[in-house]
Amino acid sequence: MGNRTIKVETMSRVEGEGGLYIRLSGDAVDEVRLEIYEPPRLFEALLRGRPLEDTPDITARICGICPVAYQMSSVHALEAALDITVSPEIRRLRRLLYCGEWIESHGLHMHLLHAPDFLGFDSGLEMAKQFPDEVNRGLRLKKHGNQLVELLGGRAIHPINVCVGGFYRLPKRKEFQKLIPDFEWGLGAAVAATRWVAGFDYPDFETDCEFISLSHPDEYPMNEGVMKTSSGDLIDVCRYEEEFEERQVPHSTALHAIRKSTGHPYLLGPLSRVNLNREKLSPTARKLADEVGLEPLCSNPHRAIIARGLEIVHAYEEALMILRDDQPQGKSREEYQYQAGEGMSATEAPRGTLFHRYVVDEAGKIVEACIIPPTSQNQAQIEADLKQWISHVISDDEQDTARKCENLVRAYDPCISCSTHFLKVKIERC
Amino acid sequence: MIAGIGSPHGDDQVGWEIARQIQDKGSDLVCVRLARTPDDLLNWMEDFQQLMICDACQGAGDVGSFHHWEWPAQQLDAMHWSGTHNVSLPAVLALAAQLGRLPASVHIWGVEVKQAQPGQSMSDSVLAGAAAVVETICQEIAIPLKTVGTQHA
Repeated sequence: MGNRTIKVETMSRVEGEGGLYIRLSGDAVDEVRLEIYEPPRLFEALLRGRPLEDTPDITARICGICPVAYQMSSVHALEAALDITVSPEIRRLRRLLYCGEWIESHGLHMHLLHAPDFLGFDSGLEMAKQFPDEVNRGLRLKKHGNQLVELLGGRAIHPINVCVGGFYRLPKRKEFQKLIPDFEWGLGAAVAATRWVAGFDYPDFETDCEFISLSHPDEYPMNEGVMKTSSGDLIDVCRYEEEFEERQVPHSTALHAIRKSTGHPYLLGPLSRVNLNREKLSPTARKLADEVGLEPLCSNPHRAIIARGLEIVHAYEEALMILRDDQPQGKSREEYQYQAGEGMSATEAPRGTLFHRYVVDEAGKIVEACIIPPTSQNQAQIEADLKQWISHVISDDEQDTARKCENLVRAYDPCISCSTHFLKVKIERC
Repeated sequence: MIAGIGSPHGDDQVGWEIARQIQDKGSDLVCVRLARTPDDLLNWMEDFQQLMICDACQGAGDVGSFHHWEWPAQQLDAMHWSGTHNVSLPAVLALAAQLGRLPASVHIWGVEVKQAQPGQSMSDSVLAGAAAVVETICQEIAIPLKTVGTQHA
């Protein structure tokens, strides 16, 4: 077999736009490039000089799927800079808001973006002809997530109710109560969805990577914790930029990331979170993980869809606990005084750990901003896994090879818009 | 339900503009909603018997001209409908039909647009097209009009 190039010009069912370029020498892989060509969006520069209060609303605009993550990382980082400690009530409501985003994002990805790959369909629309009940279920889960974000965030997309110190307005108890019947149905549906995806036929493929996520002694990680790695390290979030390095590569407008101490890429996201925090999953999710046979340290990226299912179950269960028990009361936000300082925070976006760091001045203006989204951190690992995966799927049928490469990329649920910010596949045989 | 699909950018505001003008005339019997992307409709349409969708379109005629289709209509596939992640209005309606979520009656009103630049206002010809659609829809639904609130995506 001669040399050839396989190129997927625009990958479908991923957030944002990018391509995939593969150059082969016979059956040997010469080069794999995730080509991210969306232009840089320059949010960090946009924030400089603006009032710090603008930050959560501006950074929320980075993504229509995970705006809550941007808001959470930004307010926590700014609160660190201003020495603000939020009340336990606000902390619980922020977790509730994050539950909404996980349900909405994971529900969409599982049912409409990723499941078609396992069932042999090119799209969710095509899949809906044979699996209408499952697609309807995915849409209902997404709707629940959107409703919860709307209740706490003021609107479902790009919420506007999150502020430094808390929320502009607290929801009313009766608004919570109205959601409970739908969320009780949703918990059962999420369990059924996880059992459904766990029954898919998974390729025999394992990645040799370091899994990293936040970890917290008392809870499944969302808004705080230390960075935990599958090699056994615990890293304080304040040392994020010391431990991880972003590098520019010629073929991508998104930066690649490696762990400095190893020189290797790493993987963030639901599979890493479940691998490293399984014992902190809610009771139903933990029991379900055992029931569906998810390995204690699962290294097959295709099985991340099961981890997403478990996280939806967790999110419904935690949300229900808060919705049933909580009586939103007290101050909606903490007051604060401006002071010069620096603060950083990492929270768990649906696709992985999202790091923010801000320097603010004594007038409350942003002096410096640093935002490191999960997809850009995962890109180098995705390329490394693709190099390994191609040897499993290479054939004379270039369309089939390209499709299987896309399948793997979708397993990571990349958000190219966030990472620039991804997909077209080109395979070149030399 | 009357759903305006649009954005704050240039002529792409036309779907929202039509929905807002109908809301201003208002009726307790009409629910008006504003959507950013066609897939927003999937969350809303189950509860209604009739759905009127107002959106910007390209490829149907001169700028400012307005057009009406009753779903399903083959002409819709030949035109350009924007939507995030390539989820176009016809794709959303086809999915809804597949899933049994589509109201019994679905009408689509499109106004041909030219530009959708951030910070730009709507062109005069598109505004005139919007006014014509509002008048036609109000005559068509022929129900007593009052003021009701608009719900936004």
